[in-house]
Order: sequence, then C-alpha cells, then structure tokens
Amino acid sequence: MTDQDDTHFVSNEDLLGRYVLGALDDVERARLDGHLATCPACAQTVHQERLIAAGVKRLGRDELRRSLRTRLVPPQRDLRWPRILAAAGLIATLTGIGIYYLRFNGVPSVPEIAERPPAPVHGNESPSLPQPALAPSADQFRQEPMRSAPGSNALTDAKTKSSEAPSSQRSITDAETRSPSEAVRVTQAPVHKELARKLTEETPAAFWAEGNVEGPEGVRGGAAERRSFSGSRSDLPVLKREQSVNQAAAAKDASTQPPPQFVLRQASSGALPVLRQKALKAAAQMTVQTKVERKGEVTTMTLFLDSLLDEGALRGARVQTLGDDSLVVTLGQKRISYKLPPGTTAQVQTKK
Amino acid sequence: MSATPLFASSDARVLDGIREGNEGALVELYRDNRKAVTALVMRNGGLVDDADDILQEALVSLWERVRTGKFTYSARLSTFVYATAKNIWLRRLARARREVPSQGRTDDPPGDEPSPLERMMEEEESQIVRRALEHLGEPCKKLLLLYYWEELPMEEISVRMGFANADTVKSKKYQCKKVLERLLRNALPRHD
Repeated sequence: MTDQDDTHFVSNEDLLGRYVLGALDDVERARLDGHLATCPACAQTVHQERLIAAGVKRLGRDELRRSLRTRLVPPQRDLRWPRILAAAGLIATLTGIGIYYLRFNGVPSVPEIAERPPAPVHGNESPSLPQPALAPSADQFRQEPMRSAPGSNALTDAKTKSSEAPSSQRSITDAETRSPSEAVRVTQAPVHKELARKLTEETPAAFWAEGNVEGPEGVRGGAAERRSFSGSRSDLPVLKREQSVNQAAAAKDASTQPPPQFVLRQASSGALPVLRQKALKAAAQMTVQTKVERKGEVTTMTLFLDSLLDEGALRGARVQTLGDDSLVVTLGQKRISYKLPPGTTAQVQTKK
Repeated sequence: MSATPLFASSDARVLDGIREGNEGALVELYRDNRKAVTALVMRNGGLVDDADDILQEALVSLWERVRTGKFTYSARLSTFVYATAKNIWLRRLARARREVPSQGRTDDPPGDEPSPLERMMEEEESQIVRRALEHLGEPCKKLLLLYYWEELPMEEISVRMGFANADTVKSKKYQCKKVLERLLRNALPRHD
C-alpha cells in the first residue's frame, strides 16, 4: 500500500469495509490507524461505517432469531393437532355408537329428550379438562412463544384469554369452594407441560418465580383490572422489620405422614438482586418477585414486597395449590398466582 | 474410542448445515442444549425466558462465527454453546451490577470493554441504523447483509446476487449506503 492509497482510504469501499470488519492484516491496519489519527473526515467516515456494520449485523441477528423462533414453535403444535383430530375422531365414533345403541334399543330420541325438563346441575361436578385449551395454547404460544414455567403466568394468561378457555377462570374460583383433592388442573399449554416435565427433572433447590397480582375481587381476566390494582401498591402498612410466618400444612384428619410444609416469608423489594429488580420494573403488570427454596418437605417462598405486611395479614395468608404446578397465595384482598414446576407444590391446607 | 466418530459426525453434520445456511441445524442444537442452559440460568437468578434468550443468542453467535469462517472446532458443539451461553449470562449479570467481568470470563481481552456510556450510545445508534435498514429495498438489504453480516468477499457477493463483477458490487454497496445515510442524516449525532 502506498501513501497515496493511505490518504483518504475511506473512498475505497472495499478497503473501508475490510478495515471496519477487522479483515486487514496487522501491518495494513496499523498504517490506516495512523492516518485516521490525523484525518477527522476519514475518522468520521469510519465511525459511520462502523455504525452501518453494527446495524446490519443486528438486523441479521434479529432476522435469524425470528426465523429460529418460528421454527421452534411448529413441531410442538404439529404434534398437537394430530392428537386433537385423533381424539375428536374417537369421540365422534363413540358418540355415534352410543346414539345408535340408544336409538335402536328403545331409548327416546333427542327430540323426545328435549321435551323433558333439564336435569339439575350437580355442584360437585368437576369441569372436564378444557379441550379447547389445546387450541388456545397454540395461540398462546404463538403470541408468547417462550413464556412458561416458573414465574410465568400461565395461570393468568389462561384467564386473560377467557374467550378461548373460559373453564380456566371457573377452575380457580371453584377450587376455593372445594377441597384441594378436587382442585381442577388449570389450563396450560402442552408446551408448558413439556417444559415443566423437563424442569422437574432438574429443578434446582432454589429458583426465582414471578407471581402475578390479581385484583381484590379475586381472579379475573383482563390486564385492565391488574393495572387498576397496581395503583394501590403502597396501600399496605409498612413494617420496620422483616417477618416470617410458618404456615404449616395439615388438617388434623390428614394422612399419617407428616404433611408437607409451606413457609411464607416476606422481604423488602429493595433487597432484591439487581436482575430481579430490573425484571420487576420491566414487568408490564404488577408482579411479586419470589424466591422459592425447597429443602426436604419444606418449601419456603420469600415474597419481595414494596411494602411489608403486618403480622396479621401474613399470618392470615392462604396458600392454595391447583394441580401440581400452580399456586395461589391470598394475602388479605390480594391474590398472587404462580406457576411452578410440578412437584414443587403439594396439597396444602392452610389453617384459618 | 468408538463413540468419538459418532460425536464428531453429528457435530460435523451440524456445522455443515450451518455453513449451508440450514437453520434446522440451529434448531437441533437448541433442543439439545436447552436443558443445560435453562438449569444454568435458573441457578443464577434467571427465569426460563432468560434462558431461552441466552441460548438463542449463543446459537446466533455460533452461526455468525461459522458463517464468517471465524469458528475453530476444538471441543464439542454443546460445550461451545454452553460456554458461550454462560459467558453471555455472566456478562449480563455483571452489567446489571455495574461490574467489570472477572478476567478470563469474557471473550473480549481486558481493557477493550467499552464504558457503560459508550456501550449505551453504541446500542442506541446501532438500533437507529437497524430501524433505518428496514426502509431499504430488499436488494440493498441483502447486499449489505452479505457484506457486513456474512462478511463475504465482493467476488462471492457478485456471484450470489448475479452482478457482473466485484466492482459492480462495490458500486451498488456505495449507492445503498448513500440511501441509508440519507435516512440517517438527521438521526445520528456527529462523531468528534
């Protein structure tokens, strides 16, 4: 390279590009570095070239990630639909056989049945696992492909999509009036189950979860209600010291084995690790960063709250499990819902 | 010893796939490494979403290195992916704590790490360029991606895009950059 070439080398598109991409040898690079030190115009051009290179690389990465995400979604959904169709086919076949049997064995036809008064609804009937959950979970996944498991909000996600899975809303309310053994599994996407299964195999003894704060009326769908509630974050009394309450699980008529214990603690959100503080601030809705630690039969949940609760409120907390991976903590008027890896929770009965 | 050829061939297959631009190779790596990376991130204060993000970033990094010829195969791909994911996560943690990562834990040599302010400015400016690129026509976008993202030589770009020769590519690149600069002229601060 001659000095002539060094002068304003930035006019050479390829040389400029190779310089910015680091594709020159050390000698050539050092020579051009020397020129840039004395030529502000070229330095400016190089700066702009660097920005363009950085922006293009960013574009390339974003497009690759978008493409990767798209590829990661379909296989799980593809597996789902054949199963749905197979199940639907089986149900249709059995229904057809049943109708045939009833029709031709002296059972009244449908119009005759319709004339009778409707049978009473039994309060203890468990809602069946919502079949449409498989379909909405596909939409759920499409919209939020990677949201699942600890801290994730499948519980409230299912509720916000009430038009797609209405029985999920029902399930939580019902669970309050029935014993834990009858609690209905909350709607969850199969992809969450798969992830939850994987997490079970390696769930660490301690992990972070994000609890979603529900409205004071209880579980409802819709982000609007959560937002309206978030305005009252500071309405809880502030305590000067940290408190912990042991919520031992078991009724006196429980099994002979000592029941699993659930310990609820609280701490100030100011004590959160930096990453969790950032997550808290970034959350679009009101969340509670919670550390879950398991040791033997004892599961400890430490809720990091903006304002600490008084002793009465914490002692009066109710912890309810739904299925084996969902949990709702009721603190006075506030309910916090979690999705945790299966096996973390247990059938808990809290003392009133 | 008999296991080694199997391991080598599966990694070789993945690497060949990446070189050919087959994103299915990344999908395979993603599924193979998701469990380990998820456990790593969750043990260190992260959530599952963080793990997915980190793993994707590690795979994109691998893709870039392989496609630009900067990747040297010296260990199993899963080892590389895990180590890269760990580095990325630890850097994020360190950045969050406003600490410099401990020596030997980053890919960048000590002293080359930009300051937080510089990093922020670079991020913002590259994001502005990134958005402006969306307004370029597809041929320009493709050319710039082949040049800056895949770091292909001008000769190869001319073959891929059907241009006459490398000089044509240079000229087109210049024109595309002029269009981009017009879009950016009022958006970016002057560097002194």
